[in-house]
Amino acid sequence: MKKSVNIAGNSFPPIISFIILLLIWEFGVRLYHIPDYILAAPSQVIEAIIQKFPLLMFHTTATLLEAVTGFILSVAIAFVIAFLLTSIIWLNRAIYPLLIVSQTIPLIVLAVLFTIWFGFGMVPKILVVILVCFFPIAINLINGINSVDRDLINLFRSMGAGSLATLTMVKLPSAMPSFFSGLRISATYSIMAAVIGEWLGAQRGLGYFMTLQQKSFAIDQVLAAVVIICLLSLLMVKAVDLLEYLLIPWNRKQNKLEYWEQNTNN
Amino acid sequence: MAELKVLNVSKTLDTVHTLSNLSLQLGNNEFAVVLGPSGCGKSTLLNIISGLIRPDQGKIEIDGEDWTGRTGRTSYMQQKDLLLPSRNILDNVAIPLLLKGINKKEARKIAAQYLKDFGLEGFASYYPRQLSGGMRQRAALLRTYLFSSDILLLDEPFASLDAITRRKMHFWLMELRQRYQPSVLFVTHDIEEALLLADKIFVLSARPATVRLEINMSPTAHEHEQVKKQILSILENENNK
Repeated sequence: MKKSVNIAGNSFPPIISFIILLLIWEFGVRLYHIPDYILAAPSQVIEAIIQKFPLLMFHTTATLLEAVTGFILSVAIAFVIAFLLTSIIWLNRAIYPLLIVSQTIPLIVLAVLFTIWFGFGMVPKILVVILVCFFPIAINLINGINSVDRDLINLFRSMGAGSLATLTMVKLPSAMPSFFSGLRISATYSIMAAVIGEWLGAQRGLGYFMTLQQKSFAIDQVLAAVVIICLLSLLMVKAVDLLEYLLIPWNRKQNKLEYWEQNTNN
Repeated sequence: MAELKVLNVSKTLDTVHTLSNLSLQLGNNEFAVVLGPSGCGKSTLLNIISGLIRPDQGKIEIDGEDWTGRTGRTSYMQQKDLLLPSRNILDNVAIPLLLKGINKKEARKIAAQYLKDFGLEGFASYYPRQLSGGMRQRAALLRTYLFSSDILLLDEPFASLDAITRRKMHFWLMELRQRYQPSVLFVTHDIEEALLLADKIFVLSARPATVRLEINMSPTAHEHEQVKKQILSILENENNK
């Protein structure tokens, strides 16, 4: 009984506020007769999505492919960086500042450079995605590995565990929750990063589509692409959530238990 | 046989002179308690015995063999249970067997045999977070036992438990001892705990720690009171230094 009340209590407010916002937008546009090359009403955006659906999907697949490829490569790169930096101290000193610097370079400039070097294909977009996504994953993974209880590592040493056993049994599993919070941040950025890459020169993709539509003041189409981008980003986050649910069952059970405890204590 | 000798061990940690010429002996099947004022270096002593750190001077001898600075002979349990949150109870207690190279299936089978005696029957597939503090400590003790069954170093294993649970754990530990007969070196700052469990008590001085008094316990209650007074007066003196 209490459970159903709770779920309703959690998901109703955002849905209602979202609907209210859309209604204000819709009536605002109609009431003040805002021309559609300035701002399109939600109904027009939905219409645009329906009308241009095949075209939108054609561009969406390209963007999604770039984002997912970049995202997966980011995870692999982050793991390599995290392993090296947490196991070799001087390498950590040498590389860590470079990681920080890599995040301070304006992305727009780099995206342009990548396009000059690698052309208008998928490669420069994937590189932008990697540059955006590897950092939160790597940093969280490094923090996760470094924050393992020293006593736990000592215990494993006292039981004669080698560094490989300590890594796979202690460090990696302990770092998983932290790794997933990094992964979730990167998932939200991944689609956007691919779109930025496309914006600066592409043959296909939602970013490219938006630049075209913007030039012809088809605001409804631009916003249609924005809606798709939002949905794709949410999809990426949900995929990460699902992966976390499957990969770290010990956290899942803990959460359930805490949820149960909270509800019985109240 | 499982005889442990700590011979004239001294250790300075950073700049703090922690242990000074400390010697003690643990006989076969003996339950010895090390009592000392807080921060006197009891944990450092266990770290040295387990081989995690080297003493500056002195030796650790087990069954006549030199084990100074070598891990892997004694098993060591701390105040924190240090169970891996990522593994269920059975897989947690089976870790020492896996580290010894026993395959997973076999290790689980061996570990499972002990669950009942350690009060963990029916909880094999639970994660540590789902268990009470007392159960987690019992699981940690089983893991310790499965690593090395003859010499157990226990560093305030029940200090984080509430009084009632701790008392239950004491009686359970005494039962377990009768059954498995390990040699135990038990560190605590709780005098009652020491009197209840020990065959032999070593009272340590304040830092730098050395053995101030060695008491062989006999089972009469009248003597317990006297011993308690004696220990208290030593500890009070040490704390005032």
